[in-house]
Formats: sequence, C-alpha cells, structure tokens
Amino acid sequence: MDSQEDLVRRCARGDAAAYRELVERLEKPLVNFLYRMVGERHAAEDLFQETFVRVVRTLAAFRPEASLTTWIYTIARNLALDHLKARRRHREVSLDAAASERGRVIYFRDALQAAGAPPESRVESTEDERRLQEALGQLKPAKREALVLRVYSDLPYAEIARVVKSPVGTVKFRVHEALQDLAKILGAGDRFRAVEGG
Amino acid sequence: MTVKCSDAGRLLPEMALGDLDAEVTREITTHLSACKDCLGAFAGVGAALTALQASRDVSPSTERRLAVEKAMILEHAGHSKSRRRPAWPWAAAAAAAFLLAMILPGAGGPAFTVTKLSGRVEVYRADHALWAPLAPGERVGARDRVVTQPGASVRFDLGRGGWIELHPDSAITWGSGGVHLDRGRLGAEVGIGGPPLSIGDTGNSRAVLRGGRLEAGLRPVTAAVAGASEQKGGLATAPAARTETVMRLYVKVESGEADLEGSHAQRLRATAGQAGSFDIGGRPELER
Repeated sequence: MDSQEDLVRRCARGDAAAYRELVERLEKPLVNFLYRMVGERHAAEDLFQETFVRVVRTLAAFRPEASLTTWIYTIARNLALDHLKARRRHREVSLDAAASERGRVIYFRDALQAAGAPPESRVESTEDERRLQEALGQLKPAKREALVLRVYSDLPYAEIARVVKSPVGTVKFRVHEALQDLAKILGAGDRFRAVEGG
Repeated sequence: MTVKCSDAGRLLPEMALGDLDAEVTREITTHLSACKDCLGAFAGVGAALTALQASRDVSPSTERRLAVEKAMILEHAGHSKSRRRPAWPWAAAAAAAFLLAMILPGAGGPAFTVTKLSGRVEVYRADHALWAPLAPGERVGARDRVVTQPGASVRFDLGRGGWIELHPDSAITWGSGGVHLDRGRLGAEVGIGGPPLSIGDTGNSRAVLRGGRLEAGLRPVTAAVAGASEQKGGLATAPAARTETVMRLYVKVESGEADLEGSHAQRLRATAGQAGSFDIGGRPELER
C-alpha cells in the first residue's frame, strides 16, 4: 500500500487506480459514518460519492503534514451537516403549509415527526437496525457525530477533535454522554436511574 | 480506593469504550463485582455499544463504487480543463454553447423543468453541493441528482414534446445528453425530430432513445466470475468459485426505437414492442 504522500501525488495526477485505492481504504467506515449521521442509506451513498468528488476538487488545498483520513472525514462531515440542514428546512416548509403548496403534496407525517428523528428508511432494514437508527436520531447532533466518529472511523480522539473543530476533552465528554444516552434510549434507563441516585 | 455508584455510573461509557486507564478500570471492575445495579447499567452501556459495532456492515454497492471512481475522474478532467486558458476564450465559449444547444433543448443554463410532482422529491444541486426539496416549475441541469422517495414521482419537460418521468423510489443524475439511472425506474418520450435522449446505468451501458417512448429500469445480473489461481507452498490451487451481481439497465420500447449501446462499442437497435437489457459484461441483448 502506498504512503499517504504517494497516494495524494497520484490522485493529483488523475490516476484512476489511485482513486480506486483511496476509495477502497475508506469506503466501509465512511459510508457507515454517513449512514449513522443522516439515517438514510441512499443519501449516505450520495454523500459518500460527493465527498470523493470534493476530495478531487480540493486536493490542491490539502496540506501534506495533515492526515488524509481526517481531511476526508471533515469533508464528509460537512456534507452530512448540510444535508441534515436542508432536510430540516424541508420539514419546516411542510409544517408551515396548511395545504398543498404550488401543487406539491405535503406529507403531514413528516411535519409531525420530531426534529431529531430520522426519516423512514427502506424496508430492507431489520427491526433492530431501525430501532438503533431511531435511537441515534434522538441524540443531539453534536453528541451523535462524536459517537459515530469514535465507533466507525477508528480515528483517535485528537483527529476526531480536528474533524469536529472542538477540544479533545469536549469530544470525549460528548462521546461518553452519547453512549450513556443511547443506552438509556435503547432500554437501560431504569438501571441508570438507580445508579444515578446512589 | 472505594468507588461510589455515582462515580462508577459516570465512568461506565468510558470503560466500555476502553478509554479508562488500567488502574481505574480495575477499581471499577471491583465495584461492579459487588454492585448489581452498576453491573446492570454497565451491561446496558455494553449492549448499546455492541449494537453500534455489530451493525458496521453498510457498504457501498459495486455500482456505487464504480460511479464514485467515474465521478472522480470526470471531476479531475473538468477541473484540469478549467485551469487551462483557451487561446481564444470567446471562441471556445461560443463553440461550447453551440454544442450544448445541439444536445440540450433550451440550453444556456439548467434545461429541464419540473412539470409534475407528487410526494417527496429532492434534488442535489452539484454546483452548490446542497440538497433541497424539488417543486413544480423548478429546473435541474447537468450533474444535478434527483431522488424520489417511496410513493413520489416527478416529470421533467425536455422540450419539443419530450419528457422524463421518474417513478417512486428512484434516482437519476443528469448528464450532458441524458441521465444516469442508479435506482428504480423511469419512463421517457422524445418527440419526432427532437434530440436523442441517453439513459445510462452506472456502468458503461446506455439506451439512446431516438423518437418514441420507453420504460427503463435496473435489474440484478449475476454471473460466475473467474479468479486467478494461487500458488501456495509450490502447489497451484484452483480459484475459488465466485459470483458477482451488478445492476444493469433494461428497457422496453413502447414506440419508436432505441439503440442499446454496450461496452466494446456493441450496439443493438430495439423497436416498438421490444425489450433489451445488458449482460454482466455490458453486452446488449434483445429479449423475445
């Protein structure tokens, strides 16, 4: 496997094999991270594709002393946040419209969904998978992204802190709180309440 | 040191993630062995982490991986060209506008207008890298991606009597002469005398509609794939049997005709009433 420097150099030259190598290095953890962030498989794959298009477009701005993986996750994270923002705006429009607007059918079940809840996913998900995704959707966004980066990216805390532009201590706090919250949501709440009272 | 339940409870996520140092881990472990409540809480945190880790198996499809590589190559090609200044920029711009006008109706900007829409349809605007809901009257252009949710559909006007309608739970990316379908189905019509419309999948297969109407979709195509034999300890071993499944375009021509163009410059013409598809190697086939 090429060093990071060699790989970046080959990608900058438009080497298709280098692109393939770069994609293969990161595809699974990156798609998993995006899927857990946005809650929709196809949106995650679209964002995955756009992440690598952006990588090619902005390769000239990549500093060789930085971590390529961290840089790519930063791009992916920003795209995921933009996607979530656009999706929230879509739900806000649905909430305000009392009737079909400009001929568009408004789905009021979208309007009634909680802001943090993920949209319906495809039928192929298992019940456990759906439960997990719904639970992740109930976490605060900053905590969710810290936790999914910790679990799916294998990045150390220092690099996660660079991706989310927060101090390492804050990131660790978010990760631990997120896991605790997730456990409560998934049904361990009673045991936690007993412990917190002790 | 005696660990209190409140301290242990606070540190359980760190312990489950392996973020505690050895000494603190030992102290918490000792506490857990004596405290059923904390042990139960730790089990809950562990179960949540296991659920996360156990579901680490979402992978992009082969088609998506190929599409990503293709998109990267196209981006590099487009980016490189924009950095080279043409000798006569006004002539290059005029030539490009002329070519676009030949390929796209109403060229000069986004050329495809939404004429009908129901349900939730979203567009990814490539120039702004943003998703947004799509509405009737809006336009989409090259590199924009349109996704219909289950139960939704959208129709685009191509000009000169032509249209494309995306079925529920489908996705296309607009190109310079047509669309790439990577999920679901679509219907399309091109008016007599109108410019041809290309409908491709994420491989190199495409159907070019030249006047008429067709329905297009994707279907899985599976074939045995040959592998390379391996040499281990001086003995050559036969390659393991392996199959590969890819999503390939299939079309049904309702009127007019369409050319099925596959890999290696293979081409077949499908006329009204005929259906065509592509094999795993991208070779076009007509179905009886």
